[in-house]
Amino acid sequence: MRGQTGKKRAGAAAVLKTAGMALLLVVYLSPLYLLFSIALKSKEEFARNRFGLPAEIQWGNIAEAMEKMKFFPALCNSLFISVVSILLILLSASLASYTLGRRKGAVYSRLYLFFLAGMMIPFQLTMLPLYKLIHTLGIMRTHWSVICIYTAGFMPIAIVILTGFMKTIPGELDEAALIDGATPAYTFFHIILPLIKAPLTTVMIFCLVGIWNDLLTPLLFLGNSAQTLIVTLYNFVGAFYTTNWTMVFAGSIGAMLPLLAVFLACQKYFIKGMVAGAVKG
Amino acid sequence: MIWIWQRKRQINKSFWRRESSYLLFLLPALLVYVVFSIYPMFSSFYYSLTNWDGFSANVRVIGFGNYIYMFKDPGFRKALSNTFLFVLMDVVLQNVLGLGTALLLETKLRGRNIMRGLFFVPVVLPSIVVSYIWTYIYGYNKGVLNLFLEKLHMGPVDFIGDSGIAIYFVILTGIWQWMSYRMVIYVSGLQSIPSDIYEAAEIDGARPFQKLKNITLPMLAPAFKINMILCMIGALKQFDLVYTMTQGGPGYATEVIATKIFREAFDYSDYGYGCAIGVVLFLMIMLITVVTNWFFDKREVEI
Repeated sequence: MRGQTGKKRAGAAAVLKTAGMALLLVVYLSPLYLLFSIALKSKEEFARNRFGLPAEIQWGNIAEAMEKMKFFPALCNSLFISVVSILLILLSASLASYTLGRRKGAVYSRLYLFFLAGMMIPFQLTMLPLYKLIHTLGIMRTHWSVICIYTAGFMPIAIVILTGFMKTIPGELDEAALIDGATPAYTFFHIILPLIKAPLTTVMIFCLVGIWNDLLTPLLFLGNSAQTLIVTLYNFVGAFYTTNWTMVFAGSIGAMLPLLAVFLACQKYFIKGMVAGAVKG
Repeated sequence: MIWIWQRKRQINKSFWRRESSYLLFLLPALLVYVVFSIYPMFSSFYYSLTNWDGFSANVRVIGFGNYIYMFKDPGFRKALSNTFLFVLMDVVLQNVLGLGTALLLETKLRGRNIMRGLFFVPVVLPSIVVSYIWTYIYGYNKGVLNLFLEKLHMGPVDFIGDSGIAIYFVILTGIWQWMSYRMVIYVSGLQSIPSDIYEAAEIDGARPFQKLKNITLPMLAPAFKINMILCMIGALKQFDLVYTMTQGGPGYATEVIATKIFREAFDYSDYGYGCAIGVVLFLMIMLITVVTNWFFDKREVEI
């Protein structure tokens, strides 16, 4: 009898805790409710009804904002820049980490430290000389300017994560292949690469969030025709709509939705990736 | 002696030959990293000692003039004190709120994984979207907060337009956005504590508060360390929110180091001075990383 009431009480406490936590979450995310509800109201309704749900959902707002900010070319730019940068980072960092994590020699441990030190370099330190360098290389205002900068910028963290993982792979695997006469390149692509999918996902997610949401780098190095979604939104809001909140938020939804959708679809990997990225770094 | 030297050379030669393909593997990463990170870093050290204006080829070395000017420049002092305020408030509030939420989330809850995912949403939002939402909430004319104050027959307050208080509200926005990042790191720290320690403590009759103080917090030391470093470096480099919410204004009231560098270079064409401020930022980040690591490593031995 007593045990049962105790259980019931514990159950009630759990429900109460869950409800309390849910309430906290609602308060915490209420700014996002404002964003979505305002974006989907007509301008006239927003003037009367600032907090409620829209009486009639105005999908037209988002379509209008997307058209005026030239959403689709910007989306393509963002996608191109993110995909190419991430592929370059994954390929070059995993190749380098294979050497750094599995070969012995003072050269390698020193080079590892050399990469590690890069994690302390703030972009604000390198951005002004980069401005000149990018100009000299003739890639100013093209996608390649930011792709090169991202590849270099995320290299240290990628190498730290991947090298750490390489050290946990049992050495017999690739040694056996090498003894059987496989070249190092063959061993890397056929034996090592399939084993490092997990850390590669971590690096990919960590870089994706950083690159997709970045404001400063594309603001400095990209021209209008190559511009990313985030800076396109920034220019759109700055040029026309500083006080037209329905348009500002409709445009914001366009700019944030691609990454948010990917996040909601695989949030488990996202959180794991972001935590591992931080912890290993 | 000569024999040893020759032998060493032989080993060295075979090392380079044996390792040739592995060295080749390193090449792409090394090349990109040196050209687009290391070389610009050293350029910045050099340019910080010059009067470079970004355009003219005529660059003159002026010694430590830029660094000396920094001490006299009230704009830099303001940016520095605002940045320190950012660091202080971020470190305290993000960690207190993040740890508190993490502890609540790790109790017996239904749907805690979904909740954790939803809490994390602000972290994946672009900073500029966050800054638009909060600019609206803080708005002087019919912003959310001022509508509430109006109901209470107070205000209106110009939250991010009043130079005395603007910086605090920009900082609070960042705390709203990043606190959940601190939270998930604490959650993963909490999950790595083996449950038998708690069971042993319960058998010994430990009360909840004692468990928190004697087990949970000490075992979270690695998570604390990571969060401290990330929080401080993030605050030192803060650019997006300030740039989009206030542009460093009104006047210079919310200027931080990153916006100061941007302004010096792209508004005043004083690239040399911008580089010098960048060098100071770099030194601060290095100092914080080294000191925090040293502090926690020393304590870990004690525990």
